[in-house]
Amino acid sequence: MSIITSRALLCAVLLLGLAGVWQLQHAIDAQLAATHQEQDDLVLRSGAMLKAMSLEYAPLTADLYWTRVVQYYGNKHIRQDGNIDLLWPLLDVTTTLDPNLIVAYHFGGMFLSDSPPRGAGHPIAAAGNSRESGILALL
Amino acid sequence: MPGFRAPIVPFHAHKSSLAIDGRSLVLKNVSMATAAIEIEKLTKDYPFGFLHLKKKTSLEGLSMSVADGEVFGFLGPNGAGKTTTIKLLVGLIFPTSGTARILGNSISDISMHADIGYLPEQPYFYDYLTAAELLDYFARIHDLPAQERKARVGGMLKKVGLETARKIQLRKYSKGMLQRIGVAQAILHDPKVVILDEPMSGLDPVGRREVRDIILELKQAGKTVLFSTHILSDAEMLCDRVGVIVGGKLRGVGAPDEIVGLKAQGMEVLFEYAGSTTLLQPFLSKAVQTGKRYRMQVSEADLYSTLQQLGGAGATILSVTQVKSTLEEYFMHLVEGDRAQAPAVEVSGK
Amino acid sequence: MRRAGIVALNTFREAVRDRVLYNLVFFALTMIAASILVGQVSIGIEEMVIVTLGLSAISVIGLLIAVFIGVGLVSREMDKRTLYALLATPVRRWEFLLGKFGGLVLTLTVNTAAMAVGLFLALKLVKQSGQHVEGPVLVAVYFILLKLGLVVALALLFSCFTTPLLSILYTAGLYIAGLFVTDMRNFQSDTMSRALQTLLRWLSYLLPNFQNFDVMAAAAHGRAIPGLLIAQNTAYAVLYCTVVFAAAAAIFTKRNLK
Repeated sequence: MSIITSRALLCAVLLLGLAGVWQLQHAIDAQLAATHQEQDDLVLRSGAMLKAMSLEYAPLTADLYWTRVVQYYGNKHIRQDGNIDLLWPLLDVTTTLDPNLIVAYHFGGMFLSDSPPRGAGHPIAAAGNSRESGILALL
Repeated sequence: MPGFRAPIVPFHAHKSSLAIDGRSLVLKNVSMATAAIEIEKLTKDYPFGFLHLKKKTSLEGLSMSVADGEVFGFLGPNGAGKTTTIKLLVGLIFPTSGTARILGNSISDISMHADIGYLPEQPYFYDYLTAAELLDYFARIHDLPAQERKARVGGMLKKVGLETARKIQLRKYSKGMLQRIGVAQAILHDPKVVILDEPMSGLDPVGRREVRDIILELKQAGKTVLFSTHILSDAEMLCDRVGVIVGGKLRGVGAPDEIVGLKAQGMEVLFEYAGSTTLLQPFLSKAVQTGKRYRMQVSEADLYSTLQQLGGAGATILSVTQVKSTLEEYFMHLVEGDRAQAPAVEVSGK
Repeated sequence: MRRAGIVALNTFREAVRDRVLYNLVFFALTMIAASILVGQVSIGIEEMVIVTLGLSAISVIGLLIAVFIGVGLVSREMDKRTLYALLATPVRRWEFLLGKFGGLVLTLTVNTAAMAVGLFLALKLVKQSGQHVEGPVLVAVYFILLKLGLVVALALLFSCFTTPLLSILYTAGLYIAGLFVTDMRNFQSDTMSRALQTLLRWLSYLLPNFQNFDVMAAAAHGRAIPGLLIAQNTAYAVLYCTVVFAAAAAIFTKRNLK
């Protein structure tokens, strides 16, 4: 095979392959969306355990969990799904991992106590959770 | 192992050969039909430095050929380009310019590899395999049929003297043993052309003798053998022709004795003398003394008068031999000349 | 092709002799410990814990093997020069690559299958409800295998032209990026320029999407996974591996071996 034909073949494979991947991804996304009305899961709910598991990287893990909070709430909002049960556990874990993450407290203060569909209608927050309201009071 | 036999030099292959010295470069005109390896202006540059802007030429315009059934030796100091040439022939690296053909097929044609055997420099094989498994692996790669495989592998192991070590993992092999399994792997599939990169390196005298014998056997079987070495005595003993590469350029090609010239440079006389030193003073001062023995060089013209005088003084003549320029002197002359011209830069291609 | 198979079997033999498969012992012990302990520490979610723990372990161990052995597939052979004699035979360079890829995938398949058996045994031990998790768990394991194949292909690609350390970083980086690809697509902000948005969108489709293969939640709750998704993910993995392999072959075929 001459150099030109093999180069052409390589380009064809790469372009067609990536185009195929692109198309497939759309199909897969549709498929996953259909199956995703499931309950989201937060298997590891113990903030203390996660903190131990994160070794010295707890603040980093806190950041990752905060990102999850945002994405979780955002996704629910887009899909107009009022069931945001996991918001409280997620926020709990986040603040345990990094108690200085003020934005998490703000967010929690705003959205936990509101009734659905905007908030979680969380009774504990409404009643004034000691740690949270304590820090909010400080602010 | 068969005893050592002197290499047979087929003179018909050198019909148009000319004695060559280091400066002129006359190519051998071996007819195309019988050339096993043909190389034409093969060049290899290695870019280096920042942004790869600089170039190191490790091989420059190599042109030569190896006839069918010939044993050809590549000589040269380290970094001269011997390994580069061999790697180019075998397809491990690609030429910057120039072409080469083995048995009529271009070196870029991978199917040609079925007819060649290759022993890399300082070979290393999968150390978790045993010798028998390694050879079986290569036998399968070469598409040898199942029944033949076992017989061939067994035969090869016997040939290189590793029969007893066949079940031992290669990680436990000594350097010499690895070299031998490397040779076995190279000739396992009975190739027409065998290319060996420094086959004797790191071997003890026994190992070297065995490899020499294998090369001679290959020659007897009509195979073409190309090997590189910097051990000149091996080249003198085994090769039909040698090519000397220094600094990436081919400096000379020809039969070993052609290259160095057949002219004797004098005679060496070895004699024993225990008498008074005053009689033979002129001779003794020119001679090298070891105990009672003296070694002296005289020209051919003076030989008989010298012998008469020595005999008359009561010395015992032990031997008289011709002094010929050796390949080593020719070699050193080339290398020193090259080093004087350019700073020594060894290119290992790494 | 036949020669690729010979190289593949030898690569598998190398993994076995390098005692890679001993990780199975570690896995087995973990699963046994987990099955024994889970009844004591939680109620009602024993199956879920075993499934999540088992699948996570299979995934992590598989990834470690895929990355650490994958990045050495070619570079090790080049460093140790075991490749030299082999490439002087009629083996084509792409056949060699395919063989190395196939050998490691074979190793991973054997490894994963063994771990799956261990997982199913552990499940049998703790089975409480009549829930049928076996099907979805099997699919989840298969998806993990697809994911590992893709990681091997990436590691192989980097192994062809860079050092093992850098290969590990690039492969791990691509894997992590591949987990956040969906989030990348949803990044929309008025502060971002159009160009950046388009770039992110393109990246989100072109980067390997490892989230496709994540069905751990479904498997843990015994929810069936649609056959269409299985077909799609298989096609995705095969197609992406082909693209990566073509690039690797192109690079390696032109490479001068030092």
